[in-house]
Amino acid sequence: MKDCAYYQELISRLIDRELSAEEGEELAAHARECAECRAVYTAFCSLSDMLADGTVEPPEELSENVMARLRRQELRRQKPSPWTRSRMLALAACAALVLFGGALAMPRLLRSNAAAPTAAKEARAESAASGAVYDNAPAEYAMEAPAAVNDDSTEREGTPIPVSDSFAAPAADTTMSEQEMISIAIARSEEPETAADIVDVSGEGRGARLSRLLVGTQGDLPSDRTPDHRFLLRFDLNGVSSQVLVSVYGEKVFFISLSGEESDMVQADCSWSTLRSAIYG
Amino acid sequence: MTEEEILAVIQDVLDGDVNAFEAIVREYEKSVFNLALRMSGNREDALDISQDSFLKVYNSLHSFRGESKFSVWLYRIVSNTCLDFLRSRSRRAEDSLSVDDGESGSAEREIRDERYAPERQFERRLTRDALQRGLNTLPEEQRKILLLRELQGLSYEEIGRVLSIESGTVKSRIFRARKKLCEFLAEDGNISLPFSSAKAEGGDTP
Repeated sequence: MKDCAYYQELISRLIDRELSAEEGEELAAHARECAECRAVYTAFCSLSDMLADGTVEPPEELSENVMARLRRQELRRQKPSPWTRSRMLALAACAALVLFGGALAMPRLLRSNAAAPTAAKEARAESAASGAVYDNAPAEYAMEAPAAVNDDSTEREGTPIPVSDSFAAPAADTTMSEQEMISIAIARSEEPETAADIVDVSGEGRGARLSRLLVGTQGDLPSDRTPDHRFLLRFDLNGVSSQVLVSVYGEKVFFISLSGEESDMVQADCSWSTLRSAIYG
Repeated sequence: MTEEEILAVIQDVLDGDVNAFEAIVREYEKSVFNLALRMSGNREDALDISQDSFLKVYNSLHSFRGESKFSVWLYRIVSNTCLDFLRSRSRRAEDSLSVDDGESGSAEREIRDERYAPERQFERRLTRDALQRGLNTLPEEQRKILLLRELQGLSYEEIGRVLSIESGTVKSRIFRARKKLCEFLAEDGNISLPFSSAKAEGGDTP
């Protein structure tokens, strides 16, 4: 005859629903005769109840902490998913555009030695001619924007940034100028103050590619020198105008978003060559 | 969530949507936390273990091939995280396998407790502490296996896959764990081994 230890293991499996019908019958037959095994069954059931009874709700911070850590981890990654940092930057840039509303129709006052291939000029001229740069500007500004051309682009060293030509509109005295906005952003980013240019690729379908490159991590600016190039990069993504200030030190690129409250600066994951070809290529 | 829904969420996460992972955390946090709580014996460690487990799950999500149920794959990670944690903790301090403040916060947080009179709550609290002390006396392997069955409701076959052991080993370990735990609780006066036949013959399995 089998001993009680054998039947008690069957009891354990009965509770776990891991018992065959034959084993069940065998156990039932034994249990009718054996008070000890019946007691064991009761005890095992009580134990299950106790374990189930002790189930508690997880602390609220569990999921919050996990998600916060994951988001931080994604931001730190050298090759982050394009929809983390870039989305933030694009949103910041969109927010900046609202503040910039009036500035769209303002004269572009700044000049720098930013070098851009002539191909951009042709593209820009075409874009400006079609009025694409005003597509997302408030209607009144589009109406006010004259076709006047600022001819001083030829005075600059290197290749001119032709987009500026289409912004030769009268300044509105009461609104902060684009230059001031850029100056504030530069000051907040603690970059050496130099002039900034404008590169506008709106209406060229480059937004998606550019936004993927607008990904970076926290990095330190070379504090002892001015950037080789600095320009306000303006592009459109899904029909929304966005802009971000770009500073170039050799192959290192820094993005500074121009949101009103605070500037967000990151060192780009891509090199200047890559960004340059995405802008001008 | 159904297995299909989980797979869809996993695909979203792998496509770069980190926020989609929250659905997975929400789905499993309760069972993961309770498993970690019973394994570690206190809320603070359970929270650490749970968080680390979910981070590991996220970071190895690309290696989930869908060969087993997602939950089985997930519990394997949780279970390994628990063991790693407990081993490093026992290296740090030998005396930490206690219930200490572990359950003090949870009792208040439990809505179900509201239904009980204070003396009943107190009783439950004592029982729960005794249960945790009993669990702590089990070897890790037995404790883990019993909890995977009792809290997570995994079948023997699934437990075997989680722990990479034969299902025959699973059934004997669960039995030994139950027996040992019942003996501990009986000695402690928290479980009776009454010779009442009513429940035994009813075949009323939980």
